[in-house]
Formats: sequence, structure tokens, C-alpha cells
Amino acid sequence: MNRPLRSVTRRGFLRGAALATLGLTVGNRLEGQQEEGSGVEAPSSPAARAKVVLARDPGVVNAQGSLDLTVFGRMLDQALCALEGVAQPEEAWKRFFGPRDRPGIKSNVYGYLRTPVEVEELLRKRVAACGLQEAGIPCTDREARTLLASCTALINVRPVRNHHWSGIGGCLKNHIMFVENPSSYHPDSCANLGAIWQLPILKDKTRLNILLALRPLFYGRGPHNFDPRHQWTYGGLFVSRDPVAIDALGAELLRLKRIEHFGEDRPVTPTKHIQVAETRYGLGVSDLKRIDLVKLGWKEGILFG
Amino acid sequence: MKRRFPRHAIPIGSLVLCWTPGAAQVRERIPANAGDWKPAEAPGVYDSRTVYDYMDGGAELYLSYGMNALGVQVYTKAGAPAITLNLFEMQSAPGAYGVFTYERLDGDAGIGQGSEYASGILRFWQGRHFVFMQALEEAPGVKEAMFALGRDVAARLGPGSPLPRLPSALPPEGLRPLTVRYLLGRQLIEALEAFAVDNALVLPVRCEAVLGRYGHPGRGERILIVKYPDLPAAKKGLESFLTPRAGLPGRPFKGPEGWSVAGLAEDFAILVLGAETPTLATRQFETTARRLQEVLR
Repeated sequence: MNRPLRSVTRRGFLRGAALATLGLTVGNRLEGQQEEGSGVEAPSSPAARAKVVLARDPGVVNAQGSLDLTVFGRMLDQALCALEGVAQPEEAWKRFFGPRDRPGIKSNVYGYLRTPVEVEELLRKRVAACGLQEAGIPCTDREARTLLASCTALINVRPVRNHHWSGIGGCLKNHIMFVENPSSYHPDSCANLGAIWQLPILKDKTRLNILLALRPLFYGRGPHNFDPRHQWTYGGLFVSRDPVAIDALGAELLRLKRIEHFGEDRPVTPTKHIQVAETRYGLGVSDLKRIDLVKLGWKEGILFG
Repeated sequence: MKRRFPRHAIPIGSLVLCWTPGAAQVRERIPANAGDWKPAEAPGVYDSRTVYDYMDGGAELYLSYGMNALGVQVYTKAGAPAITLNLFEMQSAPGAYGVFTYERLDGDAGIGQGSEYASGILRFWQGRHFVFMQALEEAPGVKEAMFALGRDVAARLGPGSPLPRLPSALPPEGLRPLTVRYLLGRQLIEALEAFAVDNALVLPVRCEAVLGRYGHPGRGERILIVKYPDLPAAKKGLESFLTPRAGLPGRPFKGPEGWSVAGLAEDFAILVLGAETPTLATRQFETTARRLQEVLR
């Protein structure tokens, strides 16, 4: 049986985070990732590590909940520089996209907590600056199967939130709109969401994952799983090449916030699909002890030790 | 062994017996207006196959509790936030009660058989129905309109139903009532208890259980009572839980989150989890077993 994410000890996680802050990261290329053309069963190496950058700024969202795009753009650029280990944002972006790519942006339009339109536009501009036509960069959620099918390089961007049936609405789940019948992936707490990433329409196309933690939802209720009481201003964003690692940290952030708020965790559903994405589909690293978290900017209320 | 608990004591069978085609009935139960708030358009009505058109991933929770039909009506008023009414008809009253408990956080609001209100969300259950109403802002008059609408809906739902009996087997001393979760499926148990994932309790897909939390948040124990189809199945489930923990039935053992005791009462498994002391874990187990006999007799 896979160990549930929440069984990872705080001490273990802190040890991993400490390594990151000491600069002992080992880069973002994952050893043991599934190779092109191999079968579905491709567990990542137990020694594989992943790198995730968290950037925060108290000014990115104001008291009314509005986004300051200038601050956001700066946070994003700094995060990508830290992720790629380069000094200039232009150089960082060109590590992800080049003139030969047909880029696209997989967004999320969940009504209560969508990817801000301004963020979508900013991403278009950043990608276009890599030598591409801004107008030719599709950005969509619900029409992913058609508008993004011919893309060769994708940005996967969405806000992090609690989810009824998968525990977390994160980057792994965001690609569910690439399948014709999303509900076919719901059994067993959406355990097999990783399989979507192996489909020809999507396989090896996602270059960059951005998990927005500007105003995350840590506990939802109701048909659309939204309770405004359980949304808070965190002013952060995660970036990574690894969709599993970025979701593991997103899920941990929501768990830590639930503990802070309720005095104990109020589990809704285990984030089983995150572990399965590693063990069955080899998409990345789910174990917090093997994720190097680089933290930039605002530290107050960061929750990660 | 002589059975001490009548098999019919738990209303699992009613999940099937109470089934009715409910889409038309749900539509009829939706009020035409909510005070000054008027319908934005015709109500949406969904069944267990079409509900994904409305809420996709969120549907699984309601389907797990036996959703039969869902009616949705959005009421609008110029200059005020919209009020959305979600009226679920479940296959059984235990399903309606269960889905109400699953996300319960707040004290009773005085509508239906059980209710709560906070931050623009009004939830209640009555009979085979569960109602979830939401307004995205608590602007002046919104709460009052939601309560009036809630009372109007409740009056259209017919009489209430008896509460399932299993939750009352939880010892009341130290129990935090708002944490009680009445569960009608293996996946619901797995969602709330990490140890149970991958069917660690060897449960059928459909089963009845109740979970309650005790003491102070983050420190108190939990009690889980699960009904198995029969005694052999219960023995198998208990063994699956105890063996990896080197535990013995009815005896306390220590794990990462504190002291636990697990054992059987006929075809019910009782699990006391995360108690601060072995004495407390044992006492809670024995009290639960005794109450289970009394409640289900």
C-alpha cells in the first residue's frame, strides 16, 4: 500500500526543506522519469528528487482580492530564474519555449476560483517573448481537447484548492479536460489521473506547471465545493517542471492550513492520485522528503517550516 | 453464535426500497420565488447520469450517498447576490442524513431535521432530501431571504424520517457532535480515514459506518463503527486492520497517533483510534460495544 501523503512526518519534511534552503538542490530534471514509448507501469526511482519554487509577496493580492499584475509578473520571473538557476528571466523562459514550439496554455475556469485572466495574458506575453506569435498561443480550459491538441509545449496553470473527490484540485487534475469523459477518472478518489498525462494528446508536452496559491481554498463544501470562509490570502505561487511534486506541496499547504484553522486536519479525501502519479505513472516525485522546496519572498504565514 | 443484534436494525435495505423516479418530483418542490429574488431561468434537473453536467467531480460525494435526482434553481435580484438552491432527492433518508453530516461544521439553524448556516451557506436535510443553498455574499437581506426560502422548501418536502440508529452508539461523553459523520460507503470511510485506503478494512462498496471525534481538536480520539455483511466478513476486516499493527482484538496497542483498540461486536467492527492512554482507549471501546447492544436491540 502506498503511504498516504499525510503520513510524512513534519520532521522529515523540514529536513527536505532545509536541504533546499542550504542550496543542496539537485536540479529539476528527474531521474527515473518515464521514457518515451515505454509502458504505463514506470515507477520513478526511489532516489529521484524534484525541485519546486515557492514565491510569495504580500502585495500581490490587495484587501479586495484584486491581483497586482506587476508584482505577480516579478514573482513569476524570479521563481523561474530560481527554478532554472539562471539570473535573467528571459533566459529562464527560453529554457521552456523556443521558436520551433507550438505553445499553449492549459488554464482553469472553475467559477469560484479561476486562473485570473490577467495571468493568462501575462503568460502569453512571456511565451511570445521567446520568439513566438502572441496571438497564436491558445489558452483554454474546457476546450483543451480541441484547441490545445496540436500544441507541442504547454504551460499548466491553475489555482490550488481543496477538491471533493481527489483531495486537491492541482496541476495533475487540471489536465482532465483533455479526455472526453472526465468522470471515468473519478473512481478510487481519482487515483488514475496520472494516466491522462500518458495519452498521446498530452504525453511529454507539459513544460511548466504553475500552481497559483494567491487565495487558496483549504476546505470546500457543496456541489461546487466552495465555501468562502475557507479561502485565505497566501500571496504565493509554486512553479516546477514536476506536476507531482508541485501538487504534493499544494496538498501539504492545504493540509497545514486546515490544521491551523480547525486545530486538526479535516480530511476530505486522500490525495491518492499524487502518489499513484509517481508509483504507477512515473510522472514525478510525491514524497515530500524528496522534494527540494526553494522559498522566495514573504515568509510570514508561509506554513512550511 | 447467537445473534444479539437484529439484522434489520440498520436501514441499509431502505436504500433500495425507497427508490423512486424523482426528477419530476424535485422540480415540483422548487419554489417559484424566493421573496424578492426571482428565478433567473427554468430550474435544472439532473439524475445520477446527467449530474456530471452540473458539477463534475463534486458529484461523486452525492452519488456515494445514493443521489436519485437534483434540482437546481438560481434566484436573482437586481443589485443583490444570486441565491442558488440545490435540492437533492436521495434514495433513502439515511443517505440524506449522511450527506448532511459529511460536511457539517456549524450548529443547528432551525430548518428541517438538521441544519446549519454560515457565510452564505444554508444546509439542511429532511426525509429523503438534502438541501444546499448558497449566496456568494452576505449582503443585506440575503440571509433572511435564504432562511425564508429554506422554510418554504422544507414545507414542501413532506414529513421527516427517523434518524439512523447507528450514530447513537457513539458514547456521548466527550463527543464533539458536529464531527459525527454518518457514512454509507467504503470510499467515504477511506476519504476520512487515511489508514483505511486501498480497502484496508476489507469492506464491501456499500456499507454503513459512523465516525466521531472526541476531546479537543488535534488531541482527542476517534471512534469508527463499521457494519459488515456478516460475522466472517467482520472477522476478516478486523484481522486486516490488526495484523500489520501487531494488535489483538479488544486489546490496546500503541501506534504513531496514540493508543487504539479494535474489536468486534457481532458483525460490527469498533475501532477506537488515537486515544491518549490505553485505559481511555479500552474504556471507549467497551462503552461503544455496550451502547451498540443497547441501541440496536
